[in-house]
Amino acid sequence: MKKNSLLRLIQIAGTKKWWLIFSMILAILSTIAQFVPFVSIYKILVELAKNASEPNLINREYIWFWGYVALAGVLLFGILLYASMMLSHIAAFNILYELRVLISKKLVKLPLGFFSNKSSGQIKKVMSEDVERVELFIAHHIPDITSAILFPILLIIYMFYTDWHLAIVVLSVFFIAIIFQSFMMLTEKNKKLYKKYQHVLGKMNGSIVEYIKGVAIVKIFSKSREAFQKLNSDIKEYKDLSIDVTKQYAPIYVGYYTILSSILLFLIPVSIYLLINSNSYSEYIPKLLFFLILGGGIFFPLMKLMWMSSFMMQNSVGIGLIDDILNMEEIIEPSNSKKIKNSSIIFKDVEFSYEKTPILKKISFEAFTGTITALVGPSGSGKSTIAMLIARFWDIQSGDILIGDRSIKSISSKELMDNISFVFQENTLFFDTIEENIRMGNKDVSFDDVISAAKTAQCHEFIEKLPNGYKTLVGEGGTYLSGGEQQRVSLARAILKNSPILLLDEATAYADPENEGKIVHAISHLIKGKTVIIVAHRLSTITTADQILVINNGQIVEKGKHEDLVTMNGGVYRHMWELYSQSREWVIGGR
Amino acid sequence: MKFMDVLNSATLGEPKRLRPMIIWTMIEYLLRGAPYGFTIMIIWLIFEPLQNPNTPFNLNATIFSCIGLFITLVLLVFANVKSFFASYKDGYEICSDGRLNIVSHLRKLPMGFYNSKDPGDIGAYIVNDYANIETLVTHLLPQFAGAITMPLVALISLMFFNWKLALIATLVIPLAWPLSKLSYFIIRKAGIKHQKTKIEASSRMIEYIQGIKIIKAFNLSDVRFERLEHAFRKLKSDSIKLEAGSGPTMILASSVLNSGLILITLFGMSFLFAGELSLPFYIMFLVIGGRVYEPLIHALMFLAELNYMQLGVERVEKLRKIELLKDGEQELDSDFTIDFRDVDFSYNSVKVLKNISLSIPTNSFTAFVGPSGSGKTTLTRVIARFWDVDSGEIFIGKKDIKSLKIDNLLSKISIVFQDVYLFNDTIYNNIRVGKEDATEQEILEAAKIANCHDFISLLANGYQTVVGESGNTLSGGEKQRISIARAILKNAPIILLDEATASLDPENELYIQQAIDNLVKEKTVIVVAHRLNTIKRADKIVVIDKGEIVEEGKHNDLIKNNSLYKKLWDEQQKVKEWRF
Repeated sequence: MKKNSLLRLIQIAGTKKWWLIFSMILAILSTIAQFVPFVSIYKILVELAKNASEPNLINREYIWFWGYVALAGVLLFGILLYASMMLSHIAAFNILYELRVLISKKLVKLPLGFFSNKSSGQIKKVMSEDVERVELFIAHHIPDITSAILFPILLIIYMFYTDWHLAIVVLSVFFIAIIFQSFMMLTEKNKKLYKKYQHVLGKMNGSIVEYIKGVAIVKIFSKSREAFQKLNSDIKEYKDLSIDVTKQYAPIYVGYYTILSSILLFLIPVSIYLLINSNSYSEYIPKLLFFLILGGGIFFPLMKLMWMSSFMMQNSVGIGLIDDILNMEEIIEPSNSKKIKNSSIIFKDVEFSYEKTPILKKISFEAFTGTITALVGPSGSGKSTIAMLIARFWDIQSGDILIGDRSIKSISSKELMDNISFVFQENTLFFDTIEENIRMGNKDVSFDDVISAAKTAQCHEFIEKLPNGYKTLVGEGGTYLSGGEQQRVSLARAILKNSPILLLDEATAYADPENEGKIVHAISHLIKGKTVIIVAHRLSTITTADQILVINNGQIVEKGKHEDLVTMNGGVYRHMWELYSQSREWVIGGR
Repeated sequence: MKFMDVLNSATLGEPKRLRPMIIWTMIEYLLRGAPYGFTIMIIWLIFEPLQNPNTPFNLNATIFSCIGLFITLVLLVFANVKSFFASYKDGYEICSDGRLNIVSHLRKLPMGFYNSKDPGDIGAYIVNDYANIETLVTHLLPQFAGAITMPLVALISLMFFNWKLALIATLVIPLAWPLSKLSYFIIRKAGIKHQKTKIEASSRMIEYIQGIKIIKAFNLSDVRFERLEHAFRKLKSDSIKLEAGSGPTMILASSVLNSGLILITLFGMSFLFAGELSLPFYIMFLVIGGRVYEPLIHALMFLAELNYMQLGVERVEKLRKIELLKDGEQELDSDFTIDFRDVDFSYNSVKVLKNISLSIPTNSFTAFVGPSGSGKTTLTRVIARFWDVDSGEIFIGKKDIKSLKIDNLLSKISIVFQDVYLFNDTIYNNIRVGKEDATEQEILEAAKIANCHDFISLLANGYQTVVGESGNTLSGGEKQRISIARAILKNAPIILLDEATASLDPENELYIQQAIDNLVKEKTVIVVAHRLNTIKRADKIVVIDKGEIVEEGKHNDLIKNNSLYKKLWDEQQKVKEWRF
């Protein structure tokens, strides 16, 4: 376990300090209570020993008393342990809750560009799994480790007080056990082995999930599972590694348990020797019984520690990932934001790289209020990035982006978002009614406005057919809508929002021909009188744009109206247009 | 599900394989209890001079005890090594066999199974369930066996010394049993609720993360955050409830068990005074009484956990019990005429295909068109036996597809899916999926024909580039071409092609079109078409609406027919003219 991550965990745990301190105290008390029945038996044995020759003199009440104490101890052990666990768990679950809230709040402040499809999965993993793992440390390790360390110390002190010779015997066995234990968790080799184990396990599980996801391909294309060498070898690799780990741990594990069981082998000879050579046989007996009955008790908490050490290392990775998110740079909000005067968009020598890969080079253009600007170019050329930069998904490295003659960095994100609507390829519907998915929190509009937006977006018809109409729950866990339907709902959303700037990124990309007409129709309604930036593949849809920017390799290579660009000899747009016309006329088997 | 059934399915019907680990662990725990026996002996020896003041301390017997103790320790090491390897080595082997078995079973399941569930979920369950089975086999089972061994042996041997007192000591076990049952019940109930809350929180998380752009665009971070926060809060309280719920009953159960000690103390004492029990035996009962209940409590806890793990075993078992498609005997020759005869098919009790009769000659080009949800895709899938039809027959080359060997049938069909799926593996291996024993030459050839050789060569690692790893994201068009290369490599005589609806940049679109043209040459081709333009030259266009064939013929005939096809065609021609 990395030292700094352990410290970090303790720091996180520190926010619920008192809960955890009480939990630790109760954990120690419960370990002591666990010991009470043995103390009782010891006390009873001493009483019996005292009167062994004359059983009639045995103090019955005394024995009754210790019998009850034993039971009370057991009961108390259960209650104290439960209380300790509850305290630590309540603290832990509260901490998990707070960490999750903290991450959620942080996410809103991050550049939107951060949320690509891929990173969404990773963020979710951090929020659910990695945060979950903190529970193990706070709820289990903290109380367990304290009792595992403190209890033996208390017991050893008492043993020395009773008889130091025998205490030394117990202590030395204890130390040998501790040394063995440290073999289990501390060596570099074991850490590496553990990491490798985690890696191989992850690989196998990943392969299984992937195999099932691709099962249609598997069925169609492969005759036997042997084709999936990768999966088979991953399963076998995991098995082999597990067995290797087993072999590696066998001597330590067996040694450790043997030592724990061997304590009597050392205690008996020494204690008998001391007994025979003691001044008074009968007076030494209670001490001897104490060690015989209770000596092994020192190992109770150690057993727990043994199982725990194997879990200890798991935390270090997760906590780092949580901190990675929490420490990420936020979008800086301007201290005093001004209103946007108009909705023109100006790019001035914009340069942008993403993770050191240059995406845009010296992009300059102007989109006047109320005009349509189309961005075209091959995939990966950077055209979508331009659209996203307008909504400040990322901050640019140099140059400036102006909206209404103000740098977007000087506009608050609320003001910016109030002025921009976007419809992208991916459409997120929230688990809520369709009405709310269109309304999106806007309480100022009437239900009729929602319906008219839906009508314009060509989705009123299918919404009416749903079991509960506009009150139908959609999104994650609700009624499933097809890609085209989702797209039209998000269009209705944008129509209702009615903001002066509109960004459209391949908004018709996933529509089948049936819906495409409807969507194009809806969009033409939406864009009236707006400043529109549109990224399109179907070139026929943008021939009427006020200006077309042809992007290639992060640069604007051509700029103009369709009629001008299409007649330019050797031009990139002209070539694209030819390819497009050709592909539109494609007939399978026709060439 | 009974305990034995769980073991049966965890070991693929060979519970015998668990025997060594159970037996060795029992021996191990028995030997581990031996020191208590020696403790009792030593205490006896010490008490003897006390009871009869004239007898000297028996040193020889002590020495023998120590030697005995030493021997049991040596035996313990031996048994421990044996049980350790029996538990882990055998355990991991059992699970590895189980995983391989389930994986090959999954491949044989009818595709319909995968359409009814999210394959990602199925995968996640299997991964999880097998992790649980592994814990069950390597940890829980041997430890449970171990934990009950010592108490059972101890209590049974106490019967020989004083059956009354031993019976009293045993009495607490049946008393604690219902309490522990109750706590499983509570765990299970709270567990199911907790699971639901967890899934709910997880859905809210995904929604929040994926929707964050929209959330910001509509300045909704407060409203959406509130919901997420609510889900987190509920997760917190349900987690605490789950933790808290079973505690009290468990404490009660363990207290009931441990009260056995006080029964031994009290009854033992009265028996002692009544002369029914001698002092040494009373001591023996006390010392053993202090040790037997602790492991029994552990056993109860293991049992509770076992109960939880059982859910996973049950799920795997259910998967294994799903019926496979019945395999046939016959093989296809060179006739690939496809005939549908009165085919009916329902899915989730909704009629998807009604009375379909259709003939598709070898090496012809057929297109299925129709509104979305008409059943046109299903009609291609039943040819590959993704599902078996409810009534009617499908013939290929005059042979009922149910009478064909499934492997033989599938080897003659290639499907190009609308949603391209590439494995997280090299591009080379992703193409090779089409033909396991392909040479490098063949793979490169297929890539060239599918128009993907050029862009693959430009990648830093060429064909060895791993798909999907950071920085190696291929564009949608490139992925599609790789999937076509796969089908070209397979070179099956029947091609089922889903036309992609997603629009790509013109260059990619053209490359894909060329690749498809190369793929379908001289094959029996069925295209599920969206753009009617592309299928104008089909030998036969089949128009499907609401699961029925409504029209059939060549493009020009159908236009003349002036029915659904004409309507769809006109609509699409209009769309072409759309401008923003």
